[in-house]
Amino acid sequence: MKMSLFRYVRLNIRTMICDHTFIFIMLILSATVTSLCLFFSYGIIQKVQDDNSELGDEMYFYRYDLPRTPNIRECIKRLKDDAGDVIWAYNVTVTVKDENGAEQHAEVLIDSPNNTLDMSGVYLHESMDHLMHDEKIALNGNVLPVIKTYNSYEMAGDMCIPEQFLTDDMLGIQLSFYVDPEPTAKLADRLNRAVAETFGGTSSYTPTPVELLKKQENNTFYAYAFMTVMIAVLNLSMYFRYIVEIRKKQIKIFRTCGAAAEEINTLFLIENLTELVIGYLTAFLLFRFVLFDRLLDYYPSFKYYYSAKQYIMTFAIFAVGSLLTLMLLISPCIRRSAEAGERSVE
Amino acid sequence: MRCIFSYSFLSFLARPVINLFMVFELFVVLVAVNFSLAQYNSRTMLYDPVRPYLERQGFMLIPSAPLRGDSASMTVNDLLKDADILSVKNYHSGDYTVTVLPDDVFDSLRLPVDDGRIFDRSADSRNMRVIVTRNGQGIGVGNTLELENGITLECTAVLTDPTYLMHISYSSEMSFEEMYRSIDSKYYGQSLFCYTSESELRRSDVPKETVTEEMYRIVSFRQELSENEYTGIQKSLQEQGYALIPNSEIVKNSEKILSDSFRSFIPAVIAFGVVVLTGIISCSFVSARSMLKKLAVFYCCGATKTKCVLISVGQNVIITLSAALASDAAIVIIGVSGIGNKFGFVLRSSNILISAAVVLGCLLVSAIAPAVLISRANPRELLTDTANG
Repeated sequence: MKMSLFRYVRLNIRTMICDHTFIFIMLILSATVTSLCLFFSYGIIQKVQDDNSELGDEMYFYRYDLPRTPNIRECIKRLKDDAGDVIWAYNVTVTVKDENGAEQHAEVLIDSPNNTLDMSGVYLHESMDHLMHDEKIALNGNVLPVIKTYNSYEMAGDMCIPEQFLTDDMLGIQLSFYVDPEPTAKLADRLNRAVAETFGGTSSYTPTPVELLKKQENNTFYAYAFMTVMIAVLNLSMYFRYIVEIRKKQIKIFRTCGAAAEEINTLFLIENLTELVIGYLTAFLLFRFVLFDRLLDYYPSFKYYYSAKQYIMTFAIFAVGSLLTLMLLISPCIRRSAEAGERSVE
Repeated sequence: MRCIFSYSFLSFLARPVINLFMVFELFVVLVAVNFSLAQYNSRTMLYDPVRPYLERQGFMLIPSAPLRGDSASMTVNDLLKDADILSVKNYHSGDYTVTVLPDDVFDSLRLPVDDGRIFDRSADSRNMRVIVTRNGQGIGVGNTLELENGITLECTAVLTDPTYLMHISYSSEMSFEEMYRSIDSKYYGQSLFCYTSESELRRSDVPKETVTEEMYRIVSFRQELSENEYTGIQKSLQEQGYALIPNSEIVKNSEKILSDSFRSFIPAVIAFGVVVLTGIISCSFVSARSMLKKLAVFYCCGATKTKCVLISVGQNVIITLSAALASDAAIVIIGVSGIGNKFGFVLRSSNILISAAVVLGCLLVSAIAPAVLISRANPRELLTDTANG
């Protein structure tokens, strides 16, 4: 029985190729394109998820009009005690006085478990030569060691002072920080209270959702990935319907010759699945060996997303999805055609 | 002609599933193309107001130390007397923050508005007019806000939520993106952010000393300076404690952001285009094939092959126009309902052009398959063929 089933499948495919060449080519092409879309959309979704986790569901609190706050070290400690569980990065600016008594702005390097910076000295940007004296700097009357750097901008600003060197006469003028969890109004209130109690002042701290543009772009990518797969699946289903339609006569003949509706159904399912697998394999080869390197130019992170496991997973999704689509679309059509064949025999 | 259209319409109704499927595919294409373009527009919308400043010779002024006394400030003003300066000013009062923009920037900043209209600067008004962000206080169009010092603000428009507030910050890769921050009402509780123009501020009674100028400014010389003159100004400013980023570098970074954003969509658009093209070609092929017998009858009744092609093309016109109408409606709904804000949906005239191009392209593509099939078909054989049930 199995042998004859596969023989019929082979025969049917050959008939499709000979009698409906264009439809056969388009079906394979459609299956290939659908599989390519699956691969591509998988990568896009991974990329968007990575981007979103990089952005973090974080909010950025800032305040530029901080009242000149003394005891900044105490304030930071208190803020850490009050809200350190949700704040993961601080950016505090203080004013310091150089040896001539002139005021400068300096960023505070706050120690945290993730900090890999050397905290033994004051960081100075190369351009601030005029402040350096033999690798030492006098700030608010204290002589501190200097760590020269070309890229202090990458850290914060022209001058960065580790928390330990802060003195009570350095005045805090600006504060910003990032929070990790999903921002909510309740969390914003809690942080505002903590900051107000710590630093004083009346105006609230304004949280800023990070990178709205990036988030909007990611949402658009999601929509694209979803729409591409949806259209590709609809295309395929359209073909299947059409194929059944143009082969109604063949179904009637099978039925007249005594084949059960279930057998005809299985025959068509296997035949269509075989065609889909051909399409999938073509897509796999095309994606892996032709398109992948080109896609890396646009989305470099793609190289981390595709392993054998992922390809197998995509195939499983494709196979199960196709089978469901076929069963939903083809089976009723075949049953109707078979019943029509039965009636005509009667 | 009317007859051809009637036959086209009848053949559209004869195969509703496949034709509606084509309408749906085209609808999705038009919406997707407009989405991509609207995404790009949302970036150019932010870049355009600052572009005139950045495209001229100049630099971003970064104070790395406070100015030393009034004389230093005067020196800087004197050095920059031939330059236009883009600076953002803020006026705080309780929960209200009024951001004041130079008139030209205010005029060209076309942020999407949810309600009301951005005021016309030339029209007179008793109060200081502002446009506001969506806020927890329920302040909307027509409301007035009483501030300290007896100043009254009149709200003429409410921006979409989330939106952007101009605020020039600093980054090592400075671009137009660093000149805005996002404002989302769900994080701000009672806080209210407003925009107004400098001329509006000048007309009001807001005391000058209460308006603070932001730290970073963009300097743009009205006329190209000689190399020596320009270098001299830069050197003097650096001696005053300023760090400078050339405008050309900001333009380069901004253009890169724009092209990267456009470039990142190319593979997605191609993938989508290929899928849809496959679908449209095959649908129109399938549709034309199933129409062939009917057309053969028309042919035998005296219609020319050209008329048969026209009937088939007419059907495609109906499909395309239905899709265009449906997508227009969807785009309007997306825009009005606020869903578009999640995607940075900003419509411009380019959207109409690209939609027209897509519609024409689709008409052309969907006309090819039927034209080829009909020109090759033999009506007699078609009518006598029973092979396909």
